[in-house]
Amino acid sequence: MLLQVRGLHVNLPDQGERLHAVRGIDLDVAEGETLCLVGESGCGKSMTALALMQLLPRGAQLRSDRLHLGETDLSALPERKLSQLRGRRMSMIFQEPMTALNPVFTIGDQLRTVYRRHTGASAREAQARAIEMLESVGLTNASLRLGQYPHQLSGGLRQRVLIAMALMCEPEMLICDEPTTALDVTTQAQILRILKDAQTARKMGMVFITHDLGVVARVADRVAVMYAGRIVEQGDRASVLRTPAHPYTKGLIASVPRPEGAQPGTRRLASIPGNVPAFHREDARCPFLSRCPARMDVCGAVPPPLRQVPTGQVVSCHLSLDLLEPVPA
Amino acid sequence: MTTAATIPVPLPDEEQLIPRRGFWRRALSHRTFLFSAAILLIITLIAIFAPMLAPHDPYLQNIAMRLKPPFWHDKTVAEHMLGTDQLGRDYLSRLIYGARISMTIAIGATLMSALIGITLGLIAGYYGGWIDTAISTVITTRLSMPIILIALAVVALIGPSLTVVIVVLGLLLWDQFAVVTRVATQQVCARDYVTAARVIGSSLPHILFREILPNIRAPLIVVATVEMAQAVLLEAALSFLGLGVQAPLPSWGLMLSEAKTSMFFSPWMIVLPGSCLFILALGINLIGDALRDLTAGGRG
Amino acid sequence: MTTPLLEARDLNHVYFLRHGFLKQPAPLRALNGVSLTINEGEILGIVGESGCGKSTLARILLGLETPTSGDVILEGRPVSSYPQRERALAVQPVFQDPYGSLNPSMSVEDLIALPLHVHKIGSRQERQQKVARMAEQVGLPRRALSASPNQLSGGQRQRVAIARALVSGPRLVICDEPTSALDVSVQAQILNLLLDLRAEHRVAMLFISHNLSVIEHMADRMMVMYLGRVVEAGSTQQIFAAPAHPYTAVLRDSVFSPDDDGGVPDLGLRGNFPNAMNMPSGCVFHPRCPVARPECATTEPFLTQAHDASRQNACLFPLN
Repeated sequence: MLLQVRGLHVNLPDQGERLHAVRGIDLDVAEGETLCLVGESGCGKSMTALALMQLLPRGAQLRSDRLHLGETDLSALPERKLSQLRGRRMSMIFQEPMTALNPVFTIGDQLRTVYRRHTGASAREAQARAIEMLESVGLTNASLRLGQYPHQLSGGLRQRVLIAMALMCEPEMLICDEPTTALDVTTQAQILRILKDAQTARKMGMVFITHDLGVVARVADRVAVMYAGRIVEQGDRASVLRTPAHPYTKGLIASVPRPEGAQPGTRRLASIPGNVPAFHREDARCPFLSRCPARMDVCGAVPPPLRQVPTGQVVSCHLSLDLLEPVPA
Repeated sequence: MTTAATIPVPLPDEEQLIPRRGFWRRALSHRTFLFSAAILLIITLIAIFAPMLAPHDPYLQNIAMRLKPPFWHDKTVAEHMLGTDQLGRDYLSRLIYGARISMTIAIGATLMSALIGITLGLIAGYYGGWIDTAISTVITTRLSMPIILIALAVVALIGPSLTVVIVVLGLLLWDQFAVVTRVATQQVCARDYVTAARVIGSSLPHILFREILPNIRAPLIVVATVEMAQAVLLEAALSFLGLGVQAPLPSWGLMLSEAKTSMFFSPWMIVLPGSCLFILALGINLIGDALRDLTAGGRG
Repeated sequence: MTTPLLEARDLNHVYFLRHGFLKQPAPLRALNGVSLTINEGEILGIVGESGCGKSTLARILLGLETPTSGDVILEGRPVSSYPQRERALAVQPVFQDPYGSLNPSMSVEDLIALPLHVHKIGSRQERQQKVARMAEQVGLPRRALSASPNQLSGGQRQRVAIARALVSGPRLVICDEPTSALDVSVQAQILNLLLDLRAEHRVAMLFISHNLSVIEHMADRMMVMYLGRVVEAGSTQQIFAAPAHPYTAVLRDSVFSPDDDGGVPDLGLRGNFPNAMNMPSGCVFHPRCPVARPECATTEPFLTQAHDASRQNACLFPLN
C-alpha cells in the first residue's frame, strides 16, 4: 500500500476550547489509485489533507496509530526530512491558485526553484524540465509563460502551473484539496482531465478532496465519505455512489440537483435537515446522530460498528444489514 | 470512551444556534485586559473622587514646610506622606488632582479628534472619487506636520490654558482616526449588506450610522486608546515646556517642569509624577492591545 | 398580450478600466445588447461563467448601476420614472455570500424588518408580526429572531436574506448565485424553500447561477450568457434536451452528476478563456468553439428566433 493511515486524529485550538476536526480515520491508497475524500464544509477533509502533508496550522495536534508513505513513517520524521520529502515524494495542490503562488516571482523562478532544491539539477536542466512540465499540462508557449508573473494568468492557467509544479519531481503521491472549486465549470473539466492523465501516466497515488459528488463520479476509484471528523462509509466508487448504504451518504446523494427532464420548479429535492455539528469533546457515538432520519435508541448509547455490506463498502452504522441494503436508484 | 448516553442528543428539527461567546466572557479571562482595566479604573476613580481622597488642599502653600521628602526618607513629615514641593504644597494631593487634569485632557482631546477623524474618514471611504482624493490630501498634509511644533506655536500664539491644550490636541490628533475609518469604511462598503441596504432604499444616515459605523468600531476603539495615551504624553510635554496647563493647576507634566530645578537634591519630585504618567500611559496602551486581541477574529 | 413584469431592452454597459496612472482608460464591454423579459411569477434562469456579465446585469436590474444604454421597464413603465421607494419595494435582492450580506451588528429581527423600517410600512407591532410570520415561512427557529447573524449557519443566514427580500412583498426577487456558497444538502433546503415561496407569494425570480443543473431544476425559462452577450434563450426543458448553441452544449456537458461513470469528458474547448478587454472578431465564442467554421471568425451572429417563437440563439450554424 502506498499510503497507509490508521487512527488519525487532529484537534485544533478554537476560542479557548479544542475542536476535534478529525476523529480517528483510516485510509489506504494504492499506487495509481484515486481516493476521493468527500464531505461538506466542516467535516475535516481539509485538515486530513494537511495532516497527511504534516502541514497543520500552528497549535494543531496530530495523533495517529500509523501514518506511512511506502516504508517511511511520516509521523516519526523530523521537520528537516519532511521538507525534503514534500514536493519530491508527496505533493499537494490547493483550492486557491492565486494564493498558492508567490506573486513577486515569475512562474519560471518558482518551478525551477522546486526542481533544483530537490534534485540539485543545473539551472539549464531545471529550465528544460519546467518547459516540459508546462507543456504536459497543456500550456502553449511554455517558454514564454515562464517569464510571466502569476497575476498575468487566468485562474485555470494558474491551476495548471500549480499542477506542473506539484509534478516537477515525479511524486509518488499527490494530494488535491478542492483543486477545481474556485474555477469555472468548463475549466474544471479541463483541469480534471489533466490531473487524471498525469496520474495514469505516472501510476501516482492520489487523495482527491472535494464536496462535489459529480466530480467524485468522474475521478474516483474509491470513495471515503466524511462527516464531522469521521469516515462514515468507504468503498468502490460504483458501490458508494450507486448503492449508498449510510443514511448520510444516501441523503447527500439525493440532495444533488440533476437533470431529469421534468418540468422545472415542480420537483422537490431531498435535503438533510439541520447543520453539521462541531465536536469539542470526545464522543464516540455516530456523528450523524442529530440529523439521522433512521435514528434508533441504540445510536444514542453505543458507538456504531464498522461492517461490510453486501455491495462491498464498509459502513459505520447501527442499522441492521438488511436495512442498510440500498435501494438501487 | 466517555459515557456517551449522558450527553443529550439534539433533535434534527430543533436547529441549533451557534452559542454566542460574548465579549465580556472572553474579556474576563484575558489577563492583560484585566490588569490594564484595573489600572485605568483606579486612576479614573482617583480623578473623580480627588476632593475626598486628597489629604490636603493641593493649592495651599506653606513656606515653612518646603521640600519635605516622602515617607521613605529620614527627614519626612508625617502629615505629608509624599512630601511637599518648593512652595510647601502637599505632593500627594497634587498628584491626585493631577489625575483629573490628565484624564480630562485625554478624554476631551480624544473625543474631539475622533469626531473630526471619523467624520472625514466615513465621508472619504463612502463616497470615494474626488471627495476621497481631497480628504486624503488633507490627511497627508496633516501627517506631514510636526505635531509638537505646531502645538507649541499655536499655544504660544493664543496663550496657554487647559481648554486651549484640549482643543489644540483635538485638532491635531485626528489623523489616525481618519486613516483607519477611511480604510475600514471602504472594506465594509464592499460587503453585500451595504449593497442590500442601498437596494432597499435606505437613507444615507442609516447606511453610515447603522450599516457601517457599528461594524468598524473595533479598530476605532484601538485607535482611541493610542490617541489617548498620546494626548496624555503630549500634554505633559507641553506643560513641561511651559506652554501647556498653567500654574497653579496640578498637572503631572507641570509638576515635572517645576521639579527640574531641584532635580538633583529632591529626585523624588521628578520620579513621582513621572511614574504616574508612565502608569497611565501603560494602562491605556495595554488596554488597546487587549481590545485588539479581543475584537480580532470572528467573522464580520 | 399581457405586459411582462419586467422587460430589459438592448442593455449595453461599458466599464472603463485604467491600467496605470497615465494610460488612457480602456473600455470593457460588460453587456452587449442584452434583452430579457420576466413574466409574473416566473423564474428566469441566467447561466454563464465568470466574466459573462450576469452580475452586471443583476446590478443594473437592482438599480445599483445605470446602463450605458438601453431601458429597463417595470410593469410597463420605465424604471427611471419610478420613485426610489416604489422601485425598492418591487425588486429585492438575495446575494451569494450569506456571510457578507447580513450586517453582523443587527439582530435577525431587525435585519428582516429593514425594508419595512426604511419605508415606514405599518406600525411597530404590525412589523413585528409580519417579521415573525416571514421567519416562520422561511423555516427559521423562533429563538433565531433575537440572535445575531454570527450565531447562524450559512443556510440559516441565507434564510434570513430570503425573508428580508420577501417581507415587503416585492414582485421580483433577483437571486445572484444564492446557493453556490452553501453545502449541497443545505442548497437543497434553500432551493426547495425558494420554490415554495414562489408558489405561495407568486413572486417572479431572476435566478443567476453558474451551475446548469440548478438552473434546470429551478427555471421555467433560461438565458445562456457568454462575454456579455446572450447566446441562447428559451424554455429550460427544450434547451436542455437539445441545445442549439455549441457553448450551451459545452456547459451542459461540463455539469457532472453523481450518477455519471468514471472518466472526465473532453469538452472539445480550444484555447483559453478570452480576455474581455480584447473581444474576438465575428462570433465571440469562435476561438474556443469545438465546431467553429471559417465564417465564424468573420461574421457576427445575432440572436435570432429558431424552432419556434419561444427560442432564440446566436449561432451561424446551430446544433440540432
